[in-house]
Amino acid sequence: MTDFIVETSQLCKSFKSKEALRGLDLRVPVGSIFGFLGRNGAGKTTTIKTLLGLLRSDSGSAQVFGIPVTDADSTVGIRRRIGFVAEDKELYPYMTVKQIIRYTRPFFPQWRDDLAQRYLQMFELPPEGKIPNLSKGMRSKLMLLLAISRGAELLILDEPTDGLDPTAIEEVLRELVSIAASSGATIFFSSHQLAEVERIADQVGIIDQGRMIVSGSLDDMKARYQRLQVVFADRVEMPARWADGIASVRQDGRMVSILASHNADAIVEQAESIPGTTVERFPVTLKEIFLEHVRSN
Amino acid sequence: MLWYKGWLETRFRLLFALGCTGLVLFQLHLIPPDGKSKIFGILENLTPIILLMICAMLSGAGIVTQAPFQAKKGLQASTIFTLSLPVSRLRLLAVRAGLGWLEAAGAIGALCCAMWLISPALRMMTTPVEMLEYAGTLIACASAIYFLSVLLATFLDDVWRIWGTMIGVAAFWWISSHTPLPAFTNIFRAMGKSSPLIAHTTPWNAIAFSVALSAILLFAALRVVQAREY
Amino acid sequence: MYQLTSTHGMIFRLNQSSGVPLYLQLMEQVKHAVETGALQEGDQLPTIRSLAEELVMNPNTVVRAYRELEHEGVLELKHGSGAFIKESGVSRARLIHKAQAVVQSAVERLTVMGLTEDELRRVFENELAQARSERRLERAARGKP
Repeated sequence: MTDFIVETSQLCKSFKSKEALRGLDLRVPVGSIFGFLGRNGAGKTTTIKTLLGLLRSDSGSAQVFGIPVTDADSTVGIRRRIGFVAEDKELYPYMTVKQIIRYTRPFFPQWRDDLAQRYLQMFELPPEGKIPNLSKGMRSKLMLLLAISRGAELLILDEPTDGLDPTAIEEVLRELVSIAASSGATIFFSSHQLAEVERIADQVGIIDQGRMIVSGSLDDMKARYQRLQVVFADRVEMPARWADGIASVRQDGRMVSILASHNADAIVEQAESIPGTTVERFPVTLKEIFLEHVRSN
Repeated sequence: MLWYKGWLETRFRLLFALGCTGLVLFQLHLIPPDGKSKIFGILENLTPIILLMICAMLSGAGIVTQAPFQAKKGLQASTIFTLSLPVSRLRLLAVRAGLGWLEAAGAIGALCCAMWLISPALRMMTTPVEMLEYAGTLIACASAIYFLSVLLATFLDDVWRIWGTMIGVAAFWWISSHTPLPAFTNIFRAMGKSSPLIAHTTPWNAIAFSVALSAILLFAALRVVQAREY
Repeated sequence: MYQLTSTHGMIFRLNQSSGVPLYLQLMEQVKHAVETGALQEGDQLPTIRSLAEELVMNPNTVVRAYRELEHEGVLELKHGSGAFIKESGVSRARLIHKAQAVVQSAVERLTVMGLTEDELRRVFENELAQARSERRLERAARGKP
């Protein structure tokens, strides 16, 4: 058993119209809650489909549970241990809630009926309700129920809170945290709601144009990144060469705002050594880190 | 569970297919007890067409084409859910094709029963045993059409598949009637002129040929899906 | 963005955007609870799972906070039973309590002198920053031969 429950190396995949993945390196530690971030079209869904064995990559390798994703047998075995929520929350239009639960259950030997019952009640899903009559939010919840009740070791969720109102989002996040804490399942989810990711993820990966731009522990990232505000007494005199670690510099009158991706202490020292400056440090949110990286790419 | 799902998906199509058979039945009903020739006409011409329709309709196996990845709503969009289940595409196709075949066979059998019950003229001309042989022949020969449709379903979408099947069958019919191939390859004759009802013999050669052809087509379909499998 | 919860009579308030890592905030608040006496020696803290659930935060973060607190001697993790406040944590808290008294008299005196709350805060922060940079210069000076 490897330390990473998901590991890809230089994954490439092109479609007729575009190159979706251009050498993606992804590592998801076991037992983590991994937030997979990226703009629309960056390659998130393609990555997920590849991990599930729904797409064959052009080159590179991918492993889930240490099993290479290379043939029909192995991918079926992998899917048996994964709970999945698709981006489009579409299920069979001719089934009711109860029917689809009954239908999905036999495929998964580790199915947890207690969880299914619990979420049925908690999410207030009508057992006899026909799926097309459910609102988008209810369908999202139903898909979550189906994914979590599988008793899976890995949950792969593509926009799990899409279409949910704030109370429902809170419910879902709480349940995900609960599952992670009680079963030790790894949760790999993509989301546009950076605030959500910031709350429950301990690992984060940002993908843009088919490549992983930055990934690692969220705590580390937030410790490394800092925003420095340098206010000059009269004229702005920037050093000829800044210390290493600056992601961006913006000037507004006598104030210079620096986003440092690492080495903040050295940069602060350098700034403080310029006569007539006051330097203030501010924490950086995940949103700022994200925007900075996809903007500059 | 896949069978259950397939059933839920196709039960209305089956109903519709049975409804189509009503066309034949209606025609039969109109024929007076002594209208032997008219019955022949129907059995030779109308019946094969109806069978074609039944097979084309019931062989839909949307799972295995590429289209599901682009669809956004409804049945097609949900295929990603199905594909994310721990089943191979091969098994998905096999179950779907198998279920469709059972439904088609059932529809044909039901049609024959209904024909027998509705048409006094038919009852005059033939025996229950012969009816059974007739049903068997129809099922065997129609299987070839059915599995052609299944093979086409592996790379064509619904509408194209139906057209493709009809064109394929038409081509086959043309070839059968206009080229000097051995008699047993003409399954249409087997369903019509040479059928137990009209010729009062069972066209075993044609049946064997048809079954063999069905097997080849099914095998081809499975291979296509397997190749496309991860 | 704040999250509130009331567990065992304690209220935890965590701020996503303060820049202070969540596990540190949690640690601070546990220590504060010990200082004010809300948590006594032998009291049991919520389980990792229930705390993560109530605050809707990553369980590993709670684990980290508890482990660090154990490392600092504030609590001990009894395998299978949970996290319990230790005596040493309590004595540290008493120290902090004394420090509180010192700061209280300083604040009183400065307020009498006429400083506003903002000015007071700035004075304290400047002093802290001053001390920090003095320590750094000291270290740098020692580093150079």
